[in-house]
Amino acid sequence: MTAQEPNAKRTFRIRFARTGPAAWIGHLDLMRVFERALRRACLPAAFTQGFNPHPVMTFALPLGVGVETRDDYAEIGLSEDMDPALFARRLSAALPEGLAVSQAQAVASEGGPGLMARVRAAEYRLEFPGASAACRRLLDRMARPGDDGALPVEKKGKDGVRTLDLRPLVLSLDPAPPALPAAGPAGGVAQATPVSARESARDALSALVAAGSRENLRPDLLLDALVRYAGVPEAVAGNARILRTGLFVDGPGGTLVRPM
Amino acid sequence: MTNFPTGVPPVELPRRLLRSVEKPARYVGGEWNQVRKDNRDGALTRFAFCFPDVYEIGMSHLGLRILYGLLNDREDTACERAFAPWPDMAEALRREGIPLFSLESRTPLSAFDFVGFTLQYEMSYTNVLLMLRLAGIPLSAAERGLRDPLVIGGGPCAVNPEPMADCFDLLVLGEGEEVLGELLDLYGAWRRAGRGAFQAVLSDGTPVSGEGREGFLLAAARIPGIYVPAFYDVDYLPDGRVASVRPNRPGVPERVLRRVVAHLDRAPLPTRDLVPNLEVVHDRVFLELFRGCTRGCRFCQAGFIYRPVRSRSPGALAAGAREALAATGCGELALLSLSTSDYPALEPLADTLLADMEPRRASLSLPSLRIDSVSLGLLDRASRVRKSGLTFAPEAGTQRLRDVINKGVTEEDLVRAMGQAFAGGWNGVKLYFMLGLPEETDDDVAGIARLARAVETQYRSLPRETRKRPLSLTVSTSVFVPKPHTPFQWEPQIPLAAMKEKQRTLRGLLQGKSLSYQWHEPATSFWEAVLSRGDRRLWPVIRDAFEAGCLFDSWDDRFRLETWLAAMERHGLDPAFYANRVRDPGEVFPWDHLDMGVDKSFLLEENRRAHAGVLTPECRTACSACGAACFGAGVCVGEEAAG
Ligand code: SF4
Repeated sequence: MTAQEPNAKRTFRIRFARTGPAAWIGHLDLMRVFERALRRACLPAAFTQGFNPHPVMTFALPLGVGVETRDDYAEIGLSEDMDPALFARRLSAALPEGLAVSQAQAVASEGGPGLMARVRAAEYRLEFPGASAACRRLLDRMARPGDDGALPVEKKGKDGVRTLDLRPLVLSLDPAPPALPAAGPAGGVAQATPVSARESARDALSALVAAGSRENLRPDLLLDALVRYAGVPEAVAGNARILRTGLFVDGPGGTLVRPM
Repeated sequence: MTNFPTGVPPVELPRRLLRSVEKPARYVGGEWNQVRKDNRDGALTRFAFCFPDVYEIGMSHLGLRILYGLLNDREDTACERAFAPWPDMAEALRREGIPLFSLESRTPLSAFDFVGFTLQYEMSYTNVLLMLRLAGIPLSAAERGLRDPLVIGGGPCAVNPEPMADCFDLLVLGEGEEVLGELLDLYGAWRRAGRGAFQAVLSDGTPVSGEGREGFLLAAARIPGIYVPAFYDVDYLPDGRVASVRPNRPGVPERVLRRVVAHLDRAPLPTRDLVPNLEVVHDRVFLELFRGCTRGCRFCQAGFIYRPVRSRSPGALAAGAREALAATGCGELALLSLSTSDYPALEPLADTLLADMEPRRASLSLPSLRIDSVSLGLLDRASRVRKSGLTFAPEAGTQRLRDVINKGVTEEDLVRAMGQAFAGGWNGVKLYFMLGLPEETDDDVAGIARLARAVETQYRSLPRETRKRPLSLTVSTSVFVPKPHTPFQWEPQIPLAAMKEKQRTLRGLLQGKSLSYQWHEPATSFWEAVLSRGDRRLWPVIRDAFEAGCLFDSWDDRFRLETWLAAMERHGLDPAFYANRVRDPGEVFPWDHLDMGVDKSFLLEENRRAHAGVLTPECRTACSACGAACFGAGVCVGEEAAG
């Protein structure tokens, strides 16, 4: 955890986006990509001790391979203080195609659960032909009482395949989400995140689902449910664009708020 | 995704496809320092740099990094990359009817002007065919027309490209930095003339002209270092040996002399290196200290085909290192050369680098060191924490056999150095040996085990307090593969059964708690021996093997010897003819017209000295007049890296 690391004098929370080719980078590799960007930008990253020093860095919620994001967060330890806006700008400029940092802010480093442990929900936008109609069919099913409205899907885990009911994990579904703004999240820089107007206007649905270390609904499982219960052809679901559009943590009085 | 600035529309890569394959990041590009040029009007010459193996291997290769930067520095050229798709991706591309494309702009390879392969090992030949096939480019040069790309090759296997000669429109012999520029200049002239009748002047002042693809190739064949296989006829003796290789067009040179860059400091160091988005085999920036090697170990092809030794100056290296670390953000820099300890100013250079890197928390790695007190000191300073693996290559188990191969290392040196290493806190040692060297006897094989035991004894002789961690001693053997342009090019490889027998013997001798034995799959070494000294009659065999499914042959678990043997048999060829035959001193080799600068008579004399167990001094001690002085460069003319 960032706060406990002896070398970190300060912790910055960053908000970032990843689209395009960067969407295909695996989670561990993404850490290395950030590490190299920190070095290229000559930012005062704090390093862990030991054989293989690497920057003190945690991601709020790892992203699956092939999943894009417009609204994601990570925390990075710094060995000395600096202007957060400058940090964000310099880091963003040193990231490869498809990755961009829009904001950074210093976070209190005393105690409390880390960002990762506080994540509760994520919002995904799924784009594919027939998304709106499929979303409505899924909503109809979920409105049915009892087991008739359940969404059991098979989930492959460490200990084999088990059946999981997705209904309690789906917090809300929107069959007609607004088109994505061409730029990144409000106030964002989102340079090098080429999402054309044509692309964001596609048939889409938006889903707010449980996320984090306690309960987590991966977007590919939601696509499985759309195949099984909303008649989406498998080939179409397999080609869907998956975009994380929001990540939420516990707010005051049980509300969900964005981390920044 | 984004608008790709090329004149040819990019291929569509469905998400479904990328989600179905292992490590999709291999196929999407977008790395830091990637160069993507605006070529919407198609004004730039398109050069596809192709590495016939997976991304993680290809991206670890220094040659790619050098030439990618160099070609993209040209205003008239856009160099992009392609790698061999792993079988899952190859299958997916076939299924979806998607042609193989470049990473930068996703342009189909068939739309490139040049499709250039680097041939690093013979066992990648079928992957060259895979990439051409997936790109829809005819496999044989003779089948290609005016609209097809020029398929070119280079790299170490180009010193005997004969088994693949029919595949390539042309090959580049030696270092590419200068000759590729000359080739692209000539191509520019042809392209401006609409690939019709053209005139140009080569860099040495020679006027050339011609028409069509053949005209261009005829002009290209006059560039020193360019080999156009179609312009040479090979005649065979009734027994299958080569009778002669002769040019079949006027103006084509009898022999093609390899190109060398005389002054390395004038050749750019790659600093704006590509930074892969996924972990590759060698995930670090390389600093090339020098080219060539003075040692002349008789089995080692690199020791003869890169002569003479030419060094970069320490000042240029230190500056290049600083720049490369800043431009890439890599946390590790590796010194690269065939024998790092031979760099004249190694210690001061390493100390300068370490002083620079320490505050950046970057680490220095020093492969290919001779293990002695100097290098142990260096390694100690370079790795403050990790002290696990030391590697050392005695290559042969006895002094007699080491003299045969001209490896000037004594058992005493080795054991003493190991003692120093153990005392200094190292506990892991890996020893490399070769099996099946010329003149090898059973005693030499047993000698490998004796040497390992001597190292073990050395460890045990240390006081207990020094031995904090248990010894981990690994012996690794590979099978000797006789290579063209070496003193052992006349030698037979031992038969497959003998390889297995020797490995079995060693397995028995190398039992023990702290000992482990690793060996290479003998079948791949056997096939490497067939291909490396092969002739043009092997081309249909390679095609057949490819059509029958052979791919990624350098991967032991994918290599299919039976398929290759069946293909040989279909074409009436015997693999033993290539791998296991003793060649006559007077035999004409398929590669004799390709001149590395080292005289065949020198190689033959070295062969004689090998059998007599006579050592030959390295270049700095005494010049043996190998012939490489014809390049007038480096160690031959007394040029050493200045301080
Ligand atoms: S000519 Fe002499 S110095 Fe030059 S490479 Fe040959 S042996 Fe070495």
